[in-house]
Amino acid sequence: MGQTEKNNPFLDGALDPVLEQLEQQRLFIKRKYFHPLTALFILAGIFLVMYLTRQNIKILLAPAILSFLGGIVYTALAQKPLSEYKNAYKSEVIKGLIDRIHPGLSYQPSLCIPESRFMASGLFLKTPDRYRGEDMVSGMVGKTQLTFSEIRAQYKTETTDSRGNRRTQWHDIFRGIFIIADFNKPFKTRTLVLPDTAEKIFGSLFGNTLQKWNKGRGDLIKLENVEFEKEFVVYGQDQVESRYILTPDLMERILNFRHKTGKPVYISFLDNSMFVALSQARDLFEPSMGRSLLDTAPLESYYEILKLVIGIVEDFNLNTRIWGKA
Amino acid sequence: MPALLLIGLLAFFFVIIPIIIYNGLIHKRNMVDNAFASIDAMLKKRYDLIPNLVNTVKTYMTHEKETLTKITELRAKALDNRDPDTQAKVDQEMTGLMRSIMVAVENYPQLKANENFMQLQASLNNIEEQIAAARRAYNAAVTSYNTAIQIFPNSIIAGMKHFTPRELFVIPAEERQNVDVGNLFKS
Repeated sequence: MGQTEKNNPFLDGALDPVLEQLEQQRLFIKRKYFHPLTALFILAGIFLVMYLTRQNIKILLAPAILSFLGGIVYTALAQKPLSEYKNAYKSEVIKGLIDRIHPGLSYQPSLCIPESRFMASGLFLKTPDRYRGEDMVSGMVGKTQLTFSEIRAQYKTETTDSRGNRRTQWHDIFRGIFIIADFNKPFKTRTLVLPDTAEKIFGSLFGNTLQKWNKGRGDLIKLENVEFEKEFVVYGQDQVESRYILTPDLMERILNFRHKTGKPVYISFLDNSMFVALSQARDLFEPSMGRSLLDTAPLESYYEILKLVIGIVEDFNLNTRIWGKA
Repeated sequence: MPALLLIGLLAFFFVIIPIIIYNGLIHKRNMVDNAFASIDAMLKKRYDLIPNLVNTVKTYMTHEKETLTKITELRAKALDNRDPDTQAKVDQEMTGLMRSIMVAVENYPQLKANENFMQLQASLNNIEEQIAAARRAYNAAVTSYNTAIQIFPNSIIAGMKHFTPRELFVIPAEERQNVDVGNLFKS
């Protein structure tokens, strides 16, 4: 516990001056832009309702339109200070958190891991129709090169109802943090560690049969750790090499990591690297306009997530380089 | 018509199903042999490194002469006799000896700093990991094969065609625990 408390930026108040200054900026934007634009839109609404209920007073339409247009102008005007505020939040607060956990990592808020790398991991079979991401962090953690970013990959379905209206719906293939870390052993083939849905739903006997049908992923690798087998299903191209990667020790470590996150974890080993996809249900590392920055609960949750992700190197023992890989 | 159906059913139960089962068993037995071949290949790799290791180490390690001689002897024995039983036995003994050598290295700082030795150590660590993986792969294949020949109705075919259960490779007790190899070599 000592370690966490010492490095916890919320206890020693190191971020307080930055947060206070940004809080002033947030209040200013709220006062100068958000309040007027909200007032204008409400006014537009009132005039519109009055116009609709008493149709003979045509003159009411003009103020409705005017205040609506005013609202739009204010919305447009608010964009620049708003993005400045967001940038400042990211470059000072989020970067500050990262530096606290591991100094020397670079942080690029507008970049993300490219789609080609995401697809190359082999974790997700569906090609995304829309691929977005931000908040990329990269650098060396000890001897290990680590890169991660937020990713949202989606595919769309189009349905046409009986009246001929087309409707497009977007579905998530993956939403969360995607991590690439240099692995500590040299290897040639691909191994996938996926959440075991089949075994959970259908039990081990029937579930195993289903898993074997999944040929595109590679051969099913049955491992001897019972708890690990319950949680994950492993596919590989080489029975021996998959076990060379997934030692009893690493299996325990992956299980512990899974319990620590409490969320589905997808892992693949490929090209001497380890790809980890960690599902998250929300956008991370964003400031909220409606909430005081001095309330640090959201920031603390970002801090925990960053710690978890950067901690992967320690958790998976990636800095131990005794197997002939520099 | 019912007669034809009966013949069809009989053929299904007494010819087609046995053929499917038999082929399945052959497949599993081949997997076992294949898995053994990969252990064998890894063990061979280790034996190739041993003369090198012994040569590098012997000038420094004065108190471990006996262990080194034993390693050399074991290597010769393993290379002479390549049947599974000998390999399994020698492998077990060899793994223990190699471990004791690697632990003893701690007493020789000069050796630990020797670049040649460091490279060898990395290769050996790597091969030990691969051997451990190959053993586990072999045991998984054997377990799957042994189960397949013991369950009904496979057991009938297995009995007729003389499929016999295979022995598991013994995994050294040290490996069953989650040893942090990294700590073992930290100065």
